[in-house]
Amino acid sequence: MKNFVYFDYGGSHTSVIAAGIHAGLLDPHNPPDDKALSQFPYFDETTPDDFGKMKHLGTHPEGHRIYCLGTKSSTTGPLLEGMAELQNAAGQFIFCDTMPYVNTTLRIGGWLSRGIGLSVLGRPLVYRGIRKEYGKIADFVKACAHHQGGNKN
Amino acid sequence: MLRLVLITKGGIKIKYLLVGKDSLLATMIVAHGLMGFDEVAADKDFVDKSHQQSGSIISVGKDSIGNEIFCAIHQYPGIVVRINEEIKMLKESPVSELRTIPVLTDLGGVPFLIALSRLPGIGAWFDNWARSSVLSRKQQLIEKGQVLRVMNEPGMEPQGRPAAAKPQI
Repeated sequence: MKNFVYFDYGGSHTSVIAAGIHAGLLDPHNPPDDKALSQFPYFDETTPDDFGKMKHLGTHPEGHRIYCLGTKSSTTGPLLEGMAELQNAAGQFIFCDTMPYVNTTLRIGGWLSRGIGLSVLGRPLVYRGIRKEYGKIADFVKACAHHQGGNKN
Repeated sequence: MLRLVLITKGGIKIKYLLVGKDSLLATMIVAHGLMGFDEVAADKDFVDKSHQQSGSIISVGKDSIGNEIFCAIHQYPGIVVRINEEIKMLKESPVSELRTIPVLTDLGGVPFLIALSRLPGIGAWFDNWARSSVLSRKQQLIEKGQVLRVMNEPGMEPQGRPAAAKPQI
């Protein structure tokens, strides 16, 4: 049993969607519509207190626990892996960086919605940005799960 | 003293991860203070620039009783402390071998120089300037590490409370 941690800067968009796909809460082949995204747990809901907290999205049928994480940094992968190693837990954690899937639309939408609290303006952009990258995120989740030994359904 | 002997005889070693905000060089100098050094022969090549930018953890060495010291950089050290606690809670054996210590230092304009050091071409010049500025504060940084050493003395909880002694069998 492993802990899969999908992480990005804010921990509320690409990491949540990737974790949702891996946990089987989202169909990897069909991007969710606006309503489904707005109701999805933790999606576009980060508060400053959430940074650094691993939020549990679900458990894979094989027992792997799936989390999302906001690190407030764009280069945290080596640090996270190093910390797990220093805690003698490197084999128990798989850290997957979803920052490469944060496109410009998502950046602007995320900043408007979570950064300055204008979710009315930001959310439509966030939805559009996520749908644009959805296929790539689904492929990444598949690759992450398979390469790291956690078979995805 | 008795407490120290009991801990080292039991083989309990702590790993310290010092997390600086801006400069890895400054954090490593603080780490040497934590390890008990009064002086450190740090120069501009003490830390490779790639380490500063990679975000990976650097091993500094061991202190006199064998605790291992590591350094890393994150813009928000408090977040690293929280992530470490999360890893501790989720892993199978919740005994923590790693103690994270945020290192908050007043480095004046160094963070700005470090940001400029990422510029292509002229970045190296700003990098040198940043390193010189950090080295000019070397003694102050070592003293900061020595204060952290006292605050994180073995057998003490991070808040400075003595650890509860286990009865001897």
